[in-house]
Amino acid sequence: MNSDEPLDVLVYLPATPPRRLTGRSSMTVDDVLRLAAIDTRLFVIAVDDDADDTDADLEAVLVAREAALHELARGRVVSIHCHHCHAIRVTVNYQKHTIHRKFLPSTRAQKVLHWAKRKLHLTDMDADNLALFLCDGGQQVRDTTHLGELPIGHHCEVCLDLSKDHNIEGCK
Amino acid sequence: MMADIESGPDERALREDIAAPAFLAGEANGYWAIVAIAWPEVFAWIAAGDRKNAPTRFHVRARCARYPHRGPTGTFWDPEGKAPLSHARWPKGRSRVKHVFRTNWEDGVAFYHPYDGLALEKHPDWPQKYPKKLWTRNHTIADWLAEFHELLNSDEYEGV
Repeated sequence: MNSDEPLDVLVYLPATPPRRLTGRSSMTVDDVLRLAAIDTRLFVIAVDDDADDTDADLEAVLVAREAALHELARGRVVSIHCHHCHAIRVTVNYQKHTIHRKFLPSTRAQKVLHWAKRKLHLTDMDADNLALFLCDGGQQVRDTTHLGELPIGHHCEVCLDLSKDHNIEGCK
Repeated sequence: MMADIESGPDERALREDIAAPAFLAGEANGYWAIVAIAWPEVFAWIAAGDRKNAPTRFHVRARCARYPHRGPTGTFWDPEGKAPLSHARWPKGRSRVKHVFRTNWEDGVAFYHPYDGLALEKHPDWPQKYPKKLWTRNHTIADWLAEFHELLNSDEYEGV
């Protein structure tokens, strides 16, 4: 990769949608954080791969601030996840069941959804239409949302309800 | 894709929204992209989950007149034929996918969802039935694309 090559840099911060910046492949994570005036006390968490899920609690791998963007790029995109939590304890409620597991701020909600369906032994038919909603207020959490984008308190916990989304119905 | 000085408030609003972080992040992650704008029609693609013998993305045409007061009216699009996608090539699936991407309502000129401008207009009971699914002027084209991207990547999507 050419050191001057422009890259799309997505910066994920606590409880906010991502910011998209343009960087150069030779820039470091620290360069980006300084340019974007991001709180230096936040941890920089590595991207969580959706694959190879063993259902165990996840432990964060921190990204060195000296890391060059080209080392972190997937194609032309670099994702930088900044958060005050190393890990987030997720509680999922489904009917009378409550399950817990630690994920990362860089974990997408889809991974939580798939884990919850597996853990609760929900078959295809039972699992159709199931979606995650924030326990407070009931707002649906999109599959592509990273947990760090959700309102996470200082205790690094989030509560989600697993329940049925609507089928849109009207005339035949 | 610059707007010319003649563009109206709906087109300007849409162009502002495709420069906003929510849209740009989805684009950078490969969830969607705008292919062309021929106002009031916007042509885009939405990535779909891997399914046997199915495309990895679906093209859509969104009619965006009166955006953002009215949600875009969407249909799947054939970019080679420059025409609506034949129903046989529409995404298929169960539950939400089956309901939203139905071809037997208005001949498939709109998505059967309260975010769709035409579908909402034709269903005055939907605001009461689906208050959390309702398009409002605070929604953006990124919300619209994200909603259908989610369906095309859900377990209920089975391919074409």
